[in-house]
Amino acid sequence: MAGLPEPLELNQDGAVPLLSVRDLSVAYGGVGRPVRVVDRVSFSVGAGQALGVVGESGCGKSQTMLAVLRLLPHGGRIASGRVLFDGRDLVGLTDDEMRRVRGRGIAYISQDALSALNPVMTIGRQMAEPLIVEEGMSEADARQRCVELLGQVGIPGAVQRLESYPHQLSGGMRQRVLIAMAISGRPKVLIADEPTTALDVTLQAQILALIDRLRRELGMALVLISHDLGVVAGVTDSVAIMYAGRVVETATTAAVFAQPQHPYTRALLDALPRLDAPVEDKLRPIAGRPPDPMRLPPGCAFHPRCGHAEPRCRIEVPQLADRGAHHLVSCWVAPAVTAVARSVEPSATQPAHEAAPDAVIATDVSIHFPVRHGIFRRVVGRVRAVDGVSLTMRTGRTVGLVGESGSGKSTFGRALLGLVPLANGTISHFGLPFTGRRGQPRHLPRLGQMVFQDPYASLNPRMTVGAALAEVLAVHDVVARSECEPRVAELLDSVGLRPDLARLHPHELSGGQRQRIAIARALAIEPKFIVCDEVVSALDVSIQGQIINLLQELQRAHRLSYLFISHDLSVVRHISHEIAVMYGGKIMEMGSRDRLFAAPHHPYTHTLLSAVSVPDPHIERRRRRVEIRSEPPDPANPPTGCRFQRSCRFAAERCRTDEPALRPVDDAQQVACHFWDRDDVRAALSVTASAAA
Amino acid sequence: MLSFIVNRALQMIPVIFGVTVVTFALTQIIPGDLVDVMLGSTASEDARQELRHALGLDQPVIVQYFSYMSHLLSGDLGRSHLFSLPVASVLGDRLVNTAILAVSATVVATALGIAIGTWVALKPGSLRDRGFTVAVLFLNSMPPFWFGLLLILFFGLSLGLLPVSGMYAVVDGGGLGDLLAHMVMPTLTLAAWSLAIIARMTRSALLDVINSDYIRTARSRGLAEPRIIANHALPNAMPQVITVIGLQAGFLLSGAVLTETVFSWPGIGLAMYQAISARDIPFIQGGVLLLAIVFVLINFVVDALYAYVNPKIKLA
Repeated sequence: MAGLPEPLELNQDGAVPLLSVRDLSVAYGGVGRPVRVVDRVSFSVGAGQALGVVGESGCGKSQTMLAVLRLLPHGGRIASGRVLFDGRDLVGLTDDEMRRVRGRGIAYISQDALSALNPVMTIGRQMAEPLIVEEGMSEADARQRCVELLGQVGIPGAVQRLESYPHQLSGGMRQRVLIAMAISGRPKVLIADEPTTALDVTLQAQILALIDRLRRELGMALVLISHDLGVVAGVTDSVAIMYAGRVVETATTAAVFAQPQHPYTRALLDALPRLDAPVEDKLRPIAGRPPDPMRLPPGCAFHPRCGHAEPRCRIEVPQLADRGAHHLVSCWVAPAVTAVARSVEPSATQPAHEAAPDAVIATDVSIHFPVRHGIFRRVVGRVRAVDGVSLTMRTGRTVGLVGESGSGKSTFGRALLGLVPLANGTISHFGLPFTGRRGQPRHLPRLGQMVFQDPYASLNPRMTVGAALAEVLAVHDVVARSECEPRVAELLDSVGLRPDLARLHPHELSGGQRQRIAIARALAIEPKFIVCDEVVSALDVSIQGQIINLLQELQRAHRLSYLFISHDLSVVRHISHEIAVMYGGKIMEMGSRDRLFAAPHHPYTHTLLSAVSVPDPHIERRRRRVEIRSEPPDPANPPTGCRFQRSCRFAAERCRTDEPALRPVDDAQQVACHFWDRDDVRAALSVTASAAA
Repeated sequence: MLSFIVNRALQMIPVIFGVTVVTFALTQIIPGDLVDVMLGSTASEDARQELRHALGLDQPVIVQYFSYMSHLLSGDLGRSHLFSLPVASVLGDRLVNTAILAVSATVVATALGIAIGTWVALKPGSLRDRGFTVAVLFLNSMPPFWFGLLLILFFGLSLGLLPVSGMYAVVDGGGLGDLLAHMVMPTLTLAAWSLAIIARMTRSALLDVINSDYIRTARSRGLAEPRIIANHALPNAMPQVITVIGLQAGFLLSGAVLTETVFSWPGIGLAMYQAISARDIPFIQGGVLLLAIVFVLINFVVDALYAYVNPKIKLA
């Protein structure tokens, strides 16, 4: 056969790979000064195999895959390289030939299923369209095939779902529809670009398991892009780590996780808070941030952030070299040097049972939103966003609040600051009671502040950083006007930023820097407690650790209390002293961090824990996840009895009639379940919990 | 969908009520007295008092409004002294003529605007796109009557291809062919400005949509580009375009005044122009009321279309 693949293009087992990308480069901009966002990337994946591509945002992983499909956005182009698929070079195909490869040869799943589905077409119509126009199926056959596909991805009631619009489905359901659409053309390769990133942790685990199952059943090759090492650990055979548009390390999944050789891979693993590590370890974030592709440093792009950099690293670009057993690494530093683990610095968290005075006490708090209907906007019902929640924050401590989206955790956080009217209950801040029926009392902003998930959206784009901070100081008369400037500099310094950043606008900063500004703004009026609402969820792994460490340092320095709201259990575990688990507007379980993670007593807590992925292929492959059986309850129409009944494997008649109250297990833990102390429940919950921990 | 339309229809009632208050207030606000206009400045004080009494102008304002409303509800808009006919019957005839012009202009502006906007959006930054930007700027910055005069000068007078005024030829007029020939230039004049706006909006809405994730999804499934544009991109760009078309429909009503005057088209616009010159207050009052109601109805239709193209509204 002419054009037989070069030796490099053979897989480890000697087979010709199905998809083989060779020295692929992607460039943007004019001929004069093109910007390379992907630089000579090579990888291959064989039939039935799975490859994980991992890196932080902006490292070029999505761009590489869009180039493979030749779907680069306007302005981007393939500058060089080949994409060999099924014996053909896709780079040289005509547009029409390439179109026939998409969907049937290589299929693609993107991150955000809501924006990836056409909002004005029913699910059935958009699923069936290529089947009818490209494969020539009849309407009825295509419809039948769609029903089959929806069944295959686990959507119940498929026939009715065909008539739904995307906005009528839940997030998990939409992601399943997207997967069903991707496999509808019976592709040989499936490229999944962060398919679980926007989802709740329990859904994440389910979608990942679904993709893995379909890959096996349909014999597809899978390319799984993720920023999360834990996600790729369980379902891939090999991994490529990307940094600044290049592959810096690639090997089998087992080898990468057992013996990471590139300092960046090692740093990524170290930066991740993980459920299977001792919680006392301080997070070791990667200093600095990923480089701008317009201004790549000379030599190895990682050298400014690398702890092992040698003089040579600053001058010469290292090439991928085989260090044995197909473990390719691009690094000048000798493996022996990078393999030495940095010493673990324990974080100075206080013991969980130290007595601390109460800061904020919420008692039986309910928050209802009216549902209005008709031309007179009559109130026809109430959404019970939060229903009878009691919680205590203590001085200098952190309460972690976890739950899926829609569980009411953010609403509760806002209520603590008087931003949402309470339907019932009271909140007292340092002994000052507040019923919250009407408006926010004047003392509240001075006591409590909030930091949000998206710092870009919460900073005024037309104000400089300095002006935004000075405004807070002026509004609350914190310091005299003349002292504003030095105080702003102090604030920036306290969150680890250079004072000259005060002159910049939010768009000139990185995501991590913006989040530091948001924290500085909250600190400006020297509050006693801060509600942190998903503050690290939008940040890259390396930056996440920096922010968490900063929050912990500030807590120690100012004796701050935090309510730390997050869906990421690994992060919550790392930063919290106590944890409350919310579901359907109620607290299911609450207790000290160590107890809750070691011995969950509520089936929901247990489900959540079992869903968290860990960056260790051995654990990931062995573990058994507990599937959630149904969607969360409708908060406008909650079921009688326990909110979790429909998803609970232990639910009995009593759970449907009696609502379980939060009862103490011991002095460090409370649980709202009728059967927590039944022997079979305790036994079932302890088995998999220990496997996860 | 039905409950949305019923809801929206009920919301028109207070709006139209408000419109009647404003048109009624016209007589109170306009400087000078209706009686002065009708009798001229030479009439005796007795004659003025008599007419004032006959018209009910000596009554308190609130009583005048109720009598105005009761006439209105029985279809009586008063009598136009300019046309010497009941206002309602003049408006009825003229409305049909204006509607012919406005509807044809809307159809032309919408069809051409969407087609041109789409054609340009397929190649952003190209020569075609840059030429388009210049053309839009030209069409939007020239006054419609001037464009109408140019057309008359060129096609009517120099080339003698098209009739330059009226709806039908004076001699041997009538028939559809004659009407169409008379319609060409007024329609183009009236449509030009809206066409440019609709094309520009289609282009920018479509460019937004083409860069969205679901278009990438459609491409990643191997669908052909023309199909993606027609089936996926255009329906999603439509809400923005429909909004502009609705606003343009309102503009066409005011544009009609100038265009009808230039082409002597016997529509409401021309009649309003004449009535304003003659200070025929009952006619102005009736005309403004009618135009306002038409405007409210157009907006109602636009909202209904909106719901039709966007399932989130339809199902809400």
